[in-house]
This record gives sequence, C-alpha cells and structure tokens, in this order.
Amino acid sequence: MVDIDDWAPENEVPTKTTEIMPVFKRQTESFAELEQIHGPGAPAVYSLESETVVVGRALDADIRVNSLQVSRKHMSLTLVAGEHRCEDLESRNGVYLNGIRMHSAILRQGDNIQVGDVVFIYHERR
Amino acid sequence: MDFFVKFWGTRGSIPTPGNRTHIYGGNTACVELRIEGVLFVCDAGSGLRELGLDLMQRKNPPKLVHMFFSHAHWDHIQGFPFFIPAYIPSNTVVVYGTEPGDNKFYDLLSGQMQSDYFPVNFSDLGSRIIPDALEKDGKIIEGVKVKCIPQIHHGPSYGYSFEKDGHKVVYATDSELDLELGNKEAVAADLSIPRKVPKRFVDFVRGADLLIADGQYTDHEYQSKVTFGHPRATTLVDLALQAGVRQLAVTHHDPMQSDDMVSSKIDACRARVKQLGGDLVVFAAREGFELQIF
Repeated sequence: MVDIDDWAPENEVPTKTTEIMPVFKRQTESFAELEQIHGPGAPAVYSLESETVVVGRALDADIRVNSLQVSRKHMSLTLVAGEHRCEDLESRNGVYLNGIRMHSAILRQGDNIQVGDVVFIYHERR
Repeated sequence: MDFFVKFWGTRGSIPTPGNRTHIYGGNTACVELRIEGVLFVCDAGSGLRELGLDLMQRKNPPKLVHMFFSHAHWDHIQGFPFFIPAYIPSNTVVVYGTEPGDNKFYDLLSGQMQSDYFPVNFSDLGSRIIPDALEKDGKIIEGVKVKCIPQIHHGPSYGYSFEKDGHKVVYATDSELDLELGNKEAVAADLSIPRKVPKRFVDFVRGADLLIADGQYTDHEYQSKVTFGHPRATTLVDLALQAGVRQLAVTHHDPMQSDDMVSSKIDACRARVKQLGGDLVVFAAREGFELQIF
C-alpha cells in the first residue's frame, strides 16, 4: 500500500534543521544506532543521540526517509530508562518488528524494524 | 476500535533475569489488554509490577482494573503485592472467579499477603479490591464479552477469551494440551502427523485474532516433562490452525531457555505451519511488545 494522501511535495520548505544525518562510520561514543539496510537512502547509520527521534517522510522528521510507503511521521524512538521504546505513530503501513506488526516495543540488539520498504537494524549502545 | 495487547511477563515458573533472557524477558506471566480504554489484566506474575509502574506514568491511568487469573501458582500471583495501583485509594481492582460464587483467586491473593509472607496485609491495601465472578456463559464487562474454559494443569487452570465488536483475543496459559490429544500415542511416535486437539479447545479459540498460549517446551524438552502441566509449543500450531487463528503468541517460556533457545522454539513452530499449510503468524511473546488488534 502506498501512502499517497499525506505525501509531502519535495519543494516543501524545511522548518527544522536538526535532521539527523547518517554518520556512515560507526562512532566511538556509546549511543545506540539505527542502521538502514534497505530502502531509499540505504546504507546509512544514524546515531540516536536525542531523547526522542521521529522517523518519517516529513521534512522535519529527525530521520527522513524519502519513500512513498513511509508516512510523514511514521514511528518514534524514545529513550526510556536507558532503553529505546519504538512506537508506531498511527502510520498508514505500520511498523514491523522482526516481521510482526507492532504498536510499540522495547528494542533489543539486532532487532529488524521495517517501515514500508525501509528496513533498519537496531544496535544497542555499546 | 482501540484494542491493544501488551506483554509484561512472558516467562514461566520463576522470574529469570539476566543476559540470557534479555530479549524475551525474565518476568513471569502478565498480559495487559486495553479495549476501548477498559483495562483487563491476565495474571499477576512479576510482570505486573512493571505494568503498575507504567500505569502510574500514564496521562490518564485507569481507576478500574479487571483482573483474571489462569490459576494461582506463584508465577501467576507473585507480582500482586508490588502492584502500585492497588495501593492508591481512588482505584478499584476487581478480582474475578471463574463461576458464580467463586472467590478462590481473591482469597489466595489475600493469603499471600499475610504477615508471614509479606509486610503489608491485603486488608491494608489502599484501593478497593473486590471479588466478582463470571457467569456460566461468561460475562459482559464494560461492553467486552469475557468467557473462560478449564484447562489441563495441576489445579486446574483457566483460559479466557475477550471479545468486542467482532475482535477476539484468547489468553490460555498453563495448559498441557498434549495430554488430551486424541492421538497422543501416535504423535509421540511421529511428531510430524497432525495432532487431534480436543474440540472444546478448538471451539473456544475459534476465529481469534490473537491466541496467547503456553508453549513452554520444545518437542525435545517435552519428552522428559510429560504431566508437568505444559505443552509442546508446536502443538499450539495445530490448535491455532484448526481454530482459524490469525496470530499465535507463544508464551510462558521455560526458565532454562535462553533467548536463542526461545527463537529456535519459534522457528520450529513456523516450520510446522509450513508443513501443515496455513497463513498463521507465529511469534514469541516478548516483554514490552504491544500489538494493536485490527
């Protein structure tokens, strides 16, 4: 299913300049990471340094994914007591954790997270 | 419709913290169901403590909790004395029995909070804790139809179904289905053959969007655990397929099973789905995992 209704035109003016850019190289600091292994923009590695990170197609998403199958604000990753809680932000196509559609979950090392045609692997902080 | 299911405790027998259980969790049985804002809790294992803490953090925590128990073995009641909402005077906790006049779970919960076991007495808990019971054909609780079924366990135990607007979730833990298979001897000789699950279980589970069920043992482990009160995980696949279930969450993981072993157990279940043919989705219940029932 393609998420057409809330498609943001590419010429939309960004309202935020804090988008997390892929670091490509593993950092030595001990932040958890989201490694994108499939979909537009892959391969990429994002360091999860903020308390809350929103993944989506919107220009002001923290991790922006340019795919029609990804909602503007598709999922969030929130640091709760040292663990990342992943939550579906009522996305059109859902969030799949290791192949199972979920509403929310505490992430663990190596978890496979799929949003539309985009696949991430979660790496716990080392 | 807002129908959510969240796992707070997925381990059987005894809490099993540590690196070996980091992924699927070490807390004992506890599942939360939120149906149109109404809170139902199945079992009060050590996971209930985590649920209580989480409820206290929510913007509008429910003041009324409906609690159901598969049975009263330790791993299903030990979290109750640490359930913070039970200490809040404005809250009400309803503890359900399985038939009219049945206060067994209410009485056993209070029993574990006598001074020899725990410093706070049941009668000193701040909330209003009241017993209630299902009728013979179940009960409609705040618009949700709840039914129960006796299961095969030392005690025995009970499974529960929760239905609302055509959606159905079944919680059925601590049930040694394998003991009641119509062809259990033949199955023991050849695990690949289809298992004849008793009709009453198939009927109870029929059409569930989600079946949460005890799958404590691998096929190999079960050989030395017959009559321990828990089934082969793979037998759940037969039950779920025969009952037209959409998703199967295998829970009550054995305390000896590491995360890798639980994953292997689920792989075996998925292989059985392929072997028998069907669209069943199988996964391991995991602490902190929440699904929405569509």
